Amino acid sequence: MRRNGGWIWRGVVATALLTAFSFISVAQKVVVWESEGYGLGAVKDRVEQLTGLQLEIRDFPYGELRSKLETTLLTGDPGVAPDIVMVDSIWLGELVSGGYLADLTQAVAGVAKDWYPAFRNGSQWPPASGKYYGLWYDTDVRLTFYWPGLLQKAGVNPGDLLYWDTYITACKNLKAALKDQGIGGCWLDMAGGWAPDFEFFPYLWQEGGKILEKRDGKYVPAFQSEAGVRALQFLVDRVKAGIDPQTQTFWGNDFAQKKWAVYPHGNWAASESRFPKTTARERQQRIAALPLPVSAPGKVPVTLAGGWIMSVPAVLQSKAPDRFDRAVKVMQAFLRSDVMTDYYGALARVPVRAGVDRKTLSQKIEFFDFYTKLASVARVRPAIPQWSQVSDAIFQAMGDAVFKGVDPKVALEKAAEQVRQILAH
Amino acid sequence: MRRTRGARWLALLPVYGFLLAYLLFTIVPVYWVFATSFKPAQEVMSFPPTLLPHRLSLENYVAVFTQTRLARGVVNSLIVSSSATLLALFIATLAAYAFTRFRFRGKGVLMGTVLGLYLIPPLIGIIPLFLLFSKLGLLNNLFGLALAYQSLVLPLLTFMLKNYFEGIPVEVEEAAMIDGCSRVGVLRWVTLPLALPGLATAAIFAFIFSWNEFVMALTLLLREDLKTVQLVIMEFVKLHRIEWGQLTAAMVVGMAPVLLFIVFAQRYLIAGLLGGATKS
Amino acid sequence: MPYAFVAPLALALLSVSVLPLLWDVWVSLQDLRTTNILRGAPFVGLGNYVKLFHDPLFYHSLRVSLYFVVGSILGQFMLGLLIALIFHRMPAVARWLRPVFILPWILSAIIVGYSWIWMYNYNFGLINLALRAVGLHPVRWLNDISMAIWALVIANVWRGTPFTMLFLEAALKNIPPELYEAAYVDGASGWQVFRHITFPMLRPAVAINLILVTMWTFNLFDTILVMTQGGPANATLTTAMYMYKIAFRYGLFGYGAAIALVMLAINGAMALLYVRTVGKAAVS
Repeated sequence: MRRNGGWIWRGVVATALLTAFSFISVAQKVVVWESEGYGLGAVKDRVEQLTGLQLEIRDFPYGELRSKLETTLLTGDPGVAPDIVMVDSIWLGELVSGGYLADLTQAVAGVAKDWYPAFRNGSQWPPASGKYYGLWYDTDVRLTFYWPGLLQKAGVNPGDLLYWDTYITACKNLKAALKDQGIGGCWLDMAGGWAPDFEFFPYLWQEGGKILEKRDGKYVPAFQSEAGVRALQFLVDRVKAGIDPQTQTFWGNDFAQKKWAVYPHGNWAASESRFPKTTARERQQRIAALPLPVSAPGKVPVTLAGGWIMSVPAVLQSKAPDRFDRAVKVMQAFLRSDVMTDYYGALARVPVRAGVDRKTLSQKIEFFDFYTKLASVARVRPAIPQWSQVSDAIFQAMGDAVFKGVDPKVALEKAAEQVRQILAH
Repeated sequence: MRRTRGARWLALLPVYGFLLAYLLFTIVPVYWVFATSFKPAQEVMSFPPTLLPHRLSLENYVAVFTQTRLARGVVNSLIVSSSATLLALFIATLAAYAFTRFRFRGKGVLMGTVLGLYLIPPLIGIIPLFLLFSKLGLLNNLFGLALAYQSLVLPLLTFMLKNYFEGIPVEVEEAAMIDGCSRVGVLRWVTLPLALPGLATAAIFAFIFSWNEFVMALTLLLREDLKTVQLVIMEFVKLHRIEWGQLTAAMVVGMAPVLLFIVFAQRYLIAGLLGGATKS
Repeated sequence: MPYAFVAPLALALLSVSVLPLLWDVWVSLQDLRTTNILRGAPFVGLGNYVKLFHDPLFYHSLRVSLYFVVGSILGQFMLGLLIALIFHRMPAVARWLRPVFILPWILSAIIVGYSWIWMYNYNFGLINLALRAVGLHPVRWLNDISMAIWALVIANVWRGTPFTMLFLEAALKNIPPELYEAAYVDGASGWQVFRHITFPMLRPAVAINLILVTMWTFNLFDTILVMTQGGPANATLTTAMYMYKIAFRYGLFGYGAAIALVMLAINGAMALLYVRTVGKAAVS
């Protein structure tokens, strides 16, 4: 009988040993959290060399990074917090209001003078308040890419892509001409949370509208204005003209495979990862780029700029000052203009500051001068704490107008009412 | 009224047809994962897709074991699942034994609570559990995750074992007690050996549950080197593209224990499903 | 003595299941969110519940859940019952097929989810391959607003049918064979036997099975999180998924807790309803 149960106890001992093994901690390193593929690893060696500290860069899928940040920081336990976090610029208000991010004014205010105003202000909370909670590290712009050869084959003039009405006709012609080859005409992104960034906000701004505005010190919805209705109407018109809204996105990989002739998206759609083993020059020769279309000549093709802010968890400042100091040291190395130049060059990112090596970058990044020119007139989204809810409400209005045939004005009014309630809290 | 063999077959034809159709429905998605995992990279993305791999290749498997954290994930999952299983078995055995052999105040309430826990949406506990674990220093700790898992399977295991113990005659235990054995001694030396098949079934369930779970793991583990196998599988799905060849290979590795249980221990598995499910 | 035996169970359930539940009740009365959790949240009484009853997206999610639950249960119950009846009459066939049939039920949500994403893939999925082979147009299953929820239902029926099948098979085994013999001696037809003997005897098991499956399906969110995350355009935003989104994407913990508790109440109400209608003798 004794033998029968013996295996259980052996199992207990084995488990205890394995558990002990799992407790063994790793060597102290400066831990950086970034969104998957952000690529700070490209300058890891350089930063380690500059600081004499070891870095560990951890990638998380986009949505996971956010929930991980939220949950980790709310424990108030430095033991589970990273040393440096990359924060999507639209999360800044929420994370600062929650008290999760350290005030870095002392560490970065000096170097921030070199940043373009939109990104300098956007690194502060409230915006332009003088209180920095990090520094914007890179940006991206929205624009129209196209395959010149395909346009030629369909007899479409690239200049037609510059204005709303000719854009729609061009897309119709492209769709009809390229259908037999299994190539789509114009891409239209309705794939998820980001759709308003691509298909609504830039046009709203071009028409002189705003997403939100401040009244008596409080944010209220402003996107339901005339400008907003015109911008949403442009979306509806495109769909009605046969440009099918796409509910699944491949982030430009399908454009690189020539499945679309015209592809309004972010600058990443042209980067090397989509066109492997090509140089910037080669990519520039194969595809072409234009600003997003405007409703009439003379209007400025305003685009949307996103990007990531490099920051440090507040819990380090209060509970682990030595780690905080190391994090700041590492961050200052990351923010050197030569390090940032290396990073931009390696990942084809758009700079947020003037003092980078433009000559080198324009050789490494396709359409570099064009991107920086667009970035100079780009706008950023308000990084208020409730931003994700606001954005989702607007996305829903777009969906109602496109998929359910709701009148754009009605759809936007409904969303505005919802946003009013969201902002009331 | 006697029918010939042929006519009988004919009458059963729709039944066999249905079974065949359902069999296909069941195995085709799994087959498609297997087939893809053995295709070389270009064939995975060739259009139209090939029903059978033209060339059997192990490149995806080599890649997932040499270039990714999958092996570490398997080890982590084994640690978590076996710890959770042992702990849950221990606790559930004691409780189930008490429920079958003792009368005590609060028994009804406790059993009702155990059953009632079935009603709770599993999501409800994640944030409070996260805060609790952070206070106890159990975040980023495989043993902490095992603690969470074991308590999630406890209700099921307790009722499974309770059913099993009810089938063991009390007389056997009484005989041992007359011989001078204590209660704990009886459980250890008399009841448990008799209940081994039931314990095996319960263990398989606890193990499979722990092996399969991912939402708790996603929340309670923040370090990459601690990721369980399910979390590592998720890594193959990137924002911009999915490596289907490698993903399917990792999925095959991820379902290996489940397949092994089906092949080698299906008797216990089915006994558990048939017994544990109905009699509660 | 008995208390020593049940103490570990009580402790484990208290800390990992009961305490979180009580925490939820407390939190649902506050406006707890990521932006105030470190400082302390304002107490709002039933404010979150009031807000919930004016939230159009909550009603939308209930409607999506209704489709999802009803679709899943219809498929899973019909198929499960049919297979259980066949297996009960044909033990030899059952011995071979049963182990294969239970496979989907014991696979992880991740594997179920990705397997079906791969099946539904527009270019490389088997389903569209089959559609093309018979000359039909391929479908964007998970990215089509009207199709996505049904694509999820199919995957869920695939995963859930084995449970119903085994559950009902076990119940069939518990029906005393003498009843059937008596009926056949009286010259009853196969349908009559099913209608008057098998089904009434099966009723309690059917009720329990329906309760469990309804609750699980209503609470289910892991495969949805893997497959669609509620999209496209909220077409698969079930109540469970909505709650996940509220808590983890919007960071509104108080509001999320209120939704969770309303879900709990709905679960309880559905359980009662089934017990009343399908089988009064079900829970013993």
